Amino acid sequence: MKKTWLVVAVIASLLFQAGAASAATAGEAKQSWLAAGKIRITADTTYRQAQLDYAADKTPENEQKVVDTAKTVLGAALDEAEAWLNWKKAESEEDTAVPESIRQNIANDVAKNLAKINGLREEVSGIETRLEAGTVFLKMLGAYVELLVDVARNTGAAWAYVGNQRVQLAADYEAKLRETAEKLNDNAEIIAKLDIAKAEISVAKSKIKTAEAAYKKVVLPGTPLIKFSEGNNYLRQARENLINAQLQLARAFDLIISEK
Amino acid sequence: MKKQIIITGFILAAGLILAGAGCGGQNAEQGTGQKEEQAPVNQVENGETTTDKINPGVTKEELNKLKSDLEETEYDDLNALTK
Repeated sequence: MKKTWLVVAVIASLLFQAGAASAATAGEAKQSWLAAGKIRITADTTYRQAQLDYAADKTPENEQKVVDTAKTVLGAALDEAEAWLNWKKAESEEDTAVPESIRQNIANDVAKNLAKINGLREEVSGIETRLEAGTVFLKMLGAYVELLVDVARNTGAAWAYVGNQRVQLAADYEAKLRETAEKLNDNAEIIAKLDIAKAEISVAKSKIKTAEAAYKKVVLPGTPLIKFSEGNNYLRQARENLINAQLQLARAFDLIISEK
Repeated sequence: MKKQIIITGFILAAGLILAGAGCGGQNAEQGTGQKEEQAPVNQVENGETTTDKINPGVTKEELNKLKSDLEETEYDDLNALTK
């Protein structure tokens, strides 16, 4: 009997731990990325200061400081990129609303780019002179974007997909409420609210379409991170439109319910 | 003989009492039955009242879920290496 309880307790504990780990993965991964970003920014500031110090006083110590801080900031940038890729991977695994094809693309791109990061780490650790630091830094500017661009494009596609799903859902709710409202005698106020909701939904749909177009331009050569940011901006605006629409739908709902 | 008549009288009286109790019981049962029947009628009336209420085709929960999903969504930008 004691053994049975022990086995049950162990299994329950394992299940609980597995559940807790999977539930926290994407959120924790995002926090890791945010923390890595802060570390990289601090390292970048230190590197820039080392460059200024060397420019002011070209001693071997100051030169070594430039090399060391360059290696630190490049390592931190790779940590940040790795954290972002891990977060995107965890996020796509958890978000079952996103089609399997997009999730698979993200998983493949993440695996490919995590492997690239290991190669870049070796180059960073091999830096010995200030000249090498400058060369690797320049190389990293391009490589860094390369690491992120494919996943960013697919992430944008996933966000746009989910955005369209929500637009459709809001439109369905609006249609159902309108159908009910049209059967009521005193429906002017309700219809007015539904008209506003419909207009907001329409604008949101249009903005998501524009966002999709921007995400398709998240490619190299070009300005992929700017295009990614543009797409995000349109989705943020679409989200505001949908929140406004939801507010009107909720008010219409309350008015319909209070009719009887 | 007198004793037999008295006993027969008792038996008949007892029988009447029992019969009366039986009827009363039946009545009582019928009464309860009527109440039980009335209850579903009320429920039907209540049900009809509920059905008569306007069904908007959407629930408040569904609308609230849409709102919370929208509010929880974030679109984080990516910074370049030098930003």
